[in-house]
Amino acid sequence: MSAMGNTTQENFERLSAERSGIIDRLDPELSKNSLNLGLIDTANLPLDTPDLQGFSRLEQLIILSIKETISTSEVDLKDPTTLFVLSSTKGNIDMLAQEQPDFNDIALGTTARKVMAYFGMCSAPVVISNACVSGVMAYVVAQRLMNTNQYRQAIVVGADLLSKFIISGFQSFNTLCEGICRPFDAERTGLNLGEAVATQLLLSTPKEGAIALVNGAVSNDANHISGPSRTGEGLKIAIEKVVENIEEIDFVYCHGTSTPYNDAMEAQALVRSNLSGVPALSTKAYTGHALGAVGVLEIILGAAALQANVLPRTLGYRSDKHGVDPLVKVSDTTLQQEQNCMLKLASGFGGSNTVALFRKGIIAEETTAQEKVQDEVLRSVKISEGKIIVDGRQVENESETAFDPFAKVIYRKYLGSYAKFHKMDRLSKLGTLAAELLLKEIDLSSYDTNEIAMIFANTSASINSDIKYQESIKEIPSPAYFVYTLPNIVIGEISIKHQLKGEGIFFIQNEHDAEALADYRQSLWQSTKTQLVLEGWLEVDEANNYCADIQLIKRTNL
Amino acid sequence: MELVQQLKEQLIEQLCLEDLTVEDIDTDAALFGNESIGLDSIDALEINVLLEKEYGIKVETPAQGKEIMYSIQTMADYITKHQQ
Repeated sequence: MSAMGNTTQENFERLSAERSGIIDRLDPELSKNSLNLGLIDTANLPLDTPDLQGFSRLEQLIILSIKETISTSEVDLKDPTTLFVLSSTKGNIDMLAQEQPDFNDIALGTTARKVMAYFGMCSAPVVISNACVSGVMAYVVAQRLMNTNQYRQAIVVGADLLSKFIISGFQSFNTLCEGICRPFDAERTGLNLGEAVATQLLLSTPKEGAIALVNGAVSNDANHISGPSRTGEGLKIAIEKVVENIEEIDFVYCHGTSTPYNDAMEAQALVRSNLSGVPALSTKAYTGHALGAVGVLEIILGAAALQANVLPRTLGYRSDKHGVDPLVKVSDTTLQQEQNCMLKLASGFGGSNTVALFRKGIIAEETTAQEKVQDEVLRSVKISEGKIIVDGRQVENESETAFDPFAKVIYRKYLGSYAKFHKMDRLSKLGTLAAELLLKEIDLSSYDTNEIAMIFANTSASINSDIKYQESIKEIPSPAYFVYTLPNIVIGEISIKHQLKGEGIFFIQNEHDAEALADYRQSLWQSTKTQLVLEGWLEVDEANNYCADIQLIKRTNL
Repeated sequence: MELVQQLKEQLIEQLCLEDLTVEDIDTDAALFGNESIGLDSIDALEINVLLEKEYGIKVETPAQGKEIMYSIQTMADYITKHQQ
């Protein structure tokens, strides 16, 4: 469901007809002035049925979306080999504006749990909140977990709805454009926001004629928490991990948000990885940027385009106003061309990049169970209630246990002088301090920094910062607060400080599930060349209670 | 309080420049691209917020913002001329 319709068919028909779903809308609930937004039309959806009572609007839409997806397949959702992956940046964040918000209802883990319970799904929920790459990341994560042979199918859902919280935040960054956006165009000034709820069923053994996910990769720019690397460094790294044969790629489905920096960066990444000759596509002018849902929405549209042998027009772009590197090819007309293979790109706040390669008509053999990769814990760090424990030994025990003064003391002792620290929110400060202790005196020179990964999780995502930001909306929305309303920013901060450019992922769990993180780590060892992982729990809740419980783990049989 | 002094204090507070004191900020030095102060694009946006909140000044375009925010002195001059 998106601004272009409530079924895949509706969406693709509109795309093929070159009709945008973005409209100029004035809704005081969302914003003071009118804005061009890609909104879902819920008027004709059966949202008032008794079975959907007790669910938030977002959850209701997710349930309907899943129902629609499984209506045409034989998947047994109750089977423990069915994986559920939810991708969302802000979930039920609109609830934060209430007088007495229920933080449990707002938590993404709760949304996952409730939706899964509706369908009787019983596997461990996998919830990804990693800014705008979350949707594409969900596919890559699903594939990797299926490759460990625990799961045979996956329901991948991307869901984000627009709210005053989100809209005001993007406005504070001056990143919204007037009118409909213009990806890759010389006169582009910013993006349109959109919302979507999209679901796709993935099978570990693709059926004949289906589109298969061949491979995926994630990387970090290690450059800036909100602006992309000007040289497209991180995206280039991820592209090169995935693409083996440039000739087979028929089009690159870009992130193409139409901001001056994003599109320039993506074009750079394409040129630097020798993909500039391949047609590049952006569909953001049709649907708007639907944040955590957009990756799933676009992969569904991309798959439809592959099946139909149609390369949609990059709406908004004009060929006589080409506005990125001249080598990059973008089309302002819809093209009919034989297509078998697409490369999907995504980039997001925190400096994260995700790339996934899809191919039509692949018939995969049954994968045999892979041998478990051995690994070794090099160090562990726990921080909570004024105490720091490294490798089981208490090294700090501050009488002042409240987060702010405690963090200051530890900062002065272990970081000394790192100006960025003071700008960070509490979650990023906690993560930065924990990582500093985790990596202290560890010689990283024997590792490839493109292969050092981070896997973190918590329950409250960025609620601590969400509350601060929500307060600021009352006066003037603060961009410095808004940027931290994504839990994966802590990964961006650690990545910048230590120049770690490997995979980074932030999961939301209902409570610390170390085994689930270990499962994902195992899938990283098996599916990628990752050599070293920083992994664990980083939590600062709405009451400033904090807890870090992380480990540094290296793979032993390299 | 002198505007220049006030601006420096407000900047330190708004941009969380806790390692700096008012004395560390040179009134005429460039604020951006300056290693000793280390401001980035988010700081520029926050200065917009500061100008609006404290002085009623709305920065219309990024280009205008760049000019106004060049240094503490240029900011003070602009505020003196345009404060609402």
